[in-house]
Amino acid sequence: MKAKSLATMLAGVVCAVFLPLLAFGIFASYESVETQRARILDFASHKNREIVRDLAATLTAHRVKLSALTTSLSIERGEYDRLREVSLRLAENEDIQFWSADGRLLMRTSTGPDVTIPAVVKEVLETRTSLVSSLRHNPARTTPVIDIALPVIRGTQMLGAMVMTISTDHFAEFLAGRDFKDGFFTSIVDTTGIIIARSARHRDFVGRRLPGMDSTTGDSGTWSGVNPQGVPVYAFFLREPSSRWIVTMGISRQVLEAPVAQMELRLAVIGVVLTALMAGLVYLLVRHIRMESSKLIGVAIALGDGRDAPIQQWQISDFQRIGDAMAKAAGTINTQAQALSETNRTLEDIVEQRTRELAATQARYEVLAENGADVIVFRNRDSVTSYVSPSITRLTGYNPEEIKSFSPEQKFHPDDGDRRAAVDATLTPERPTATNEFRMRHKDGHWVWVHANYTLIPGGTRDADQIIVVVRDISDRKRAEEALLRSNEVLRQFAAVVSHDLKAPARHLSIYSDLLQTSLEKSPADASGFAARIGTAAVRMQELIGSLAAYTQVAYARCAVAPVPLDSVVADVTKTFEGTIAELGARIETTPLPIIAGDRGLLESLFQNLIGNALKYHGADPVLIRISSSTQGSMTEISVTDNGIGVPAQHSERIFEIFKRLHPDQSKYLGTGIGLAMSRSIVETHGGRIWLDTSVTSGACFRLTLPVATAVNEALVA
Amino acid sequence: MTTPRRVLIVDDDELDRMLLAEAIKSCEPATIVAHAVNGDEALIAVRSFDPTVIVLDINMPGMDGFEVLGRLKSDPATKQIPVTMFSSSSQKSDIDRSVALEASGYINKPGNLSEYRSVALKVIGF
Repeated sequence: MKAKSLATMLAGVVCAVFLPLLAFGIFASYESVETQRARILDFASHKNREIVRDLAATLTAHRVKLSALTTSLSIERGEYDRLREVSLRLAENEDIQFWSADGRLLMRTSTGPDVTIPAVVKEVLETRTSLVSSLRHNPARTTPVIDIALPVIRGTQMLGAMVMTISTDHFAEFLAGRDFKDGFFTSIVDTTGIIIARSARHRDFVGRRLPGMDSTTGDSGTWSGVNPQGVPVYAFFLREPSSRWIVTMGISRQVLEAPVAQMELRLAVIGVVLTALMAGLVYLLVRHIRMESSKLIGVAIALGDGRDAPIQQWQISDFQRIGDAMAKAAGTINTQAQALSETNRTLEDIVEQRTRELAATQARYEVLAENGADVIVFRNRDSVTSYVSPSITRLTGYNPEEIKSFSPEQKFHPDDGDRRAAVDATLTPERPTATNEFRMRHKDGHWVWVHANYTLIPGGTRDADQIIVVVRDISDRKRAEEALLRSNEVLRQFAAVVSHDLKAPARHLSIYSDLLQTSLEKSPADASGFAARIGTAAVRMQELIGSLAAYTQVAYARCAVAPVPLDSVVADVTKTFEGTIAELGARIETTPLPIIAGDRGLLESLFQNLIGNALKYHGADPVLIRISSSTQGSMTEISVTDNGIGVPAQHSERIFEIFKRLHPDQSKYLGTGIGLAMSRSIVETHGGRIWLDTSVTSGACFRLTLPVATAVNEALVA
Repeated sequence: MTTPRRVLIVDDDELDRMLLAEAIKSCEPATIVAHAVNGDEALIAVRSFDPTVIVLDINMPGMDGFEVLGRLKSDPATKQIPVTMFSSSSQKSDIDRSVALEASGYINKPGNLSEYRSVALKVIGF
């Protein structure tokens, strides 16, 4: 809703209160005016009746006097002087006459010019009833008159008529005594509508015709119009029964409407006064409220500015209450603000101190992250890496930026991909940690075994998740594990050898000894054969035990690590085979070979076996042995290829097992089958691998990897 | 008269072959014994000789006894012939592997002369 100004609201309130009040005032005044009008009309009507009653009484009184005279004996006796005497006693101002039945004036109370017989007398003589005449002008009088006439009858004889002539002044006096207010007019009118008497300006209007006479039908009623004076009136009229005269009572319309005008004036005055009062009141109220409001605003501004509120002189208690409350609030807020600002300062100090501590801690953590042996990696679930600590260089040879730019395929061993993906899937806010082991590619090309600790920092959504990976180099442990596995393998093979290979000559010794014993008794010729067999078995056993000892020595050898030039190793080994080489016309071709980080003695054994095998399993062609190398990073791959009888592909693994001699013709290729087992052991001791290259179909091609003597390896040696 | 038994002995050790053959013949003279010195020979001999039982050494140069056994059992023509392994080893792993490859028996090679007869009886029992 739209805000309204205080003045508008007050005006609204005033209208709501004032207008109904005014309406009620008008209604009440109207009621009072109506009452007043009714009272006026009542008064007029009442007065009218009263006048008619009194008029009737007056006329009756006159008639009674006349009636008394009509019974006088003087009439019969003709004693008209006596009759006049009596009449004079009864008459006051009136003229009493006695007219004979034949129209002669027989007696008259007043003196003056002769009078003619009034019309009413004639009528009385004819009708024999008493009558009141209309107005007539009497020549003997200056004022018009009316006559009351009564018949004088004795028995059935009409003696004449007794007449009383009354001046209209008499009626004017009758009316004058009635104390008329202004604006009230009474007229006595005869049956022809001529005014007999009038309450106001009687003489001016007697004899004139009543203007509203045409409206006076019946015995009573009202009419509106203009009275003889030209005054607009509202009039009542009533007939006097005996004379049939009409008495009218007119009220000036001005009088009748005066209360209305009065009321209107009064109402106007009251309205003006009330309006003025209201306006003044509203003005004063608004002014007060404005003043109080501006004080309130002052308090509010102080509250807003955080000052104490100014002390105010209030005139409206409600505002005072608000102002006091606000001033109190200002005080409280001020105090609180000060306290808050104090707390804030303290907090700022604490924050500053904590920030310093945090910075120190951060610096410590940075030193740890930057210099620790472990690599710290921050990445998301899509392997987008945001941070890699510098120790990655020590681990992989790459700097952090290079590592960050690599794809997983570039960084990790392809065989470990599934395991790495599986670890990420296990990380949930409920189980936020995991571990894994995998291989990372070193810049030199070799693989570095690492152990990784994963910690999930949940980000709310899968995309926002952060994963911290702490990577540790476990090459040493892996090497130890591999050494252990090798050792276990050697033990396993040892057990197999004892079980299969050493048992055979031992059984032979035992059985041939039994046979020798038996034959010594029966057939001495066989005995020497058996004895020879026993010798063979014993020699065989010695060979095997010797080989086993040699193998065990190699398998459990502590591999010394020193730079060993492979060229010189091959040269030395070649020398040991000089005789055979010369005999077979063999040729050994070598490319320049690298310097190996390893054990010279073991490496010599290795090449003795490899070259020895190549010479031993020769074919029809002159023996040709090729030894070459290709170095990648820290490892070198060496191949030893010959043009001999070769090895069937299906035996590519079994040839490396101990005492495994795969050539069916044992008599042609002598030996115990220990050479390649020893070779594998030596290569693995050096951290390398040896395998038969089955893609080479003519002759045999053995490939092996060995660590080259690099700066890193030098460091390892140290 | 029943058809004489036909035993194929596969072993690179001549002594074992001779002594076992002799022991079998002394127990049941009608038995016909054939020899193979390695796996290749054994796989050829099993076709020509049609043995009723095969005695198979494990530790042989070239194809070993397990490989020969595997081939015999994967060939429908030879699958039904009972094969008893004959080894100086008494290692559990060797016995397990023999059972897995559906060998019918496993006999340790004798440590002295007198035991060959009991071995022969076991072989004839098949």
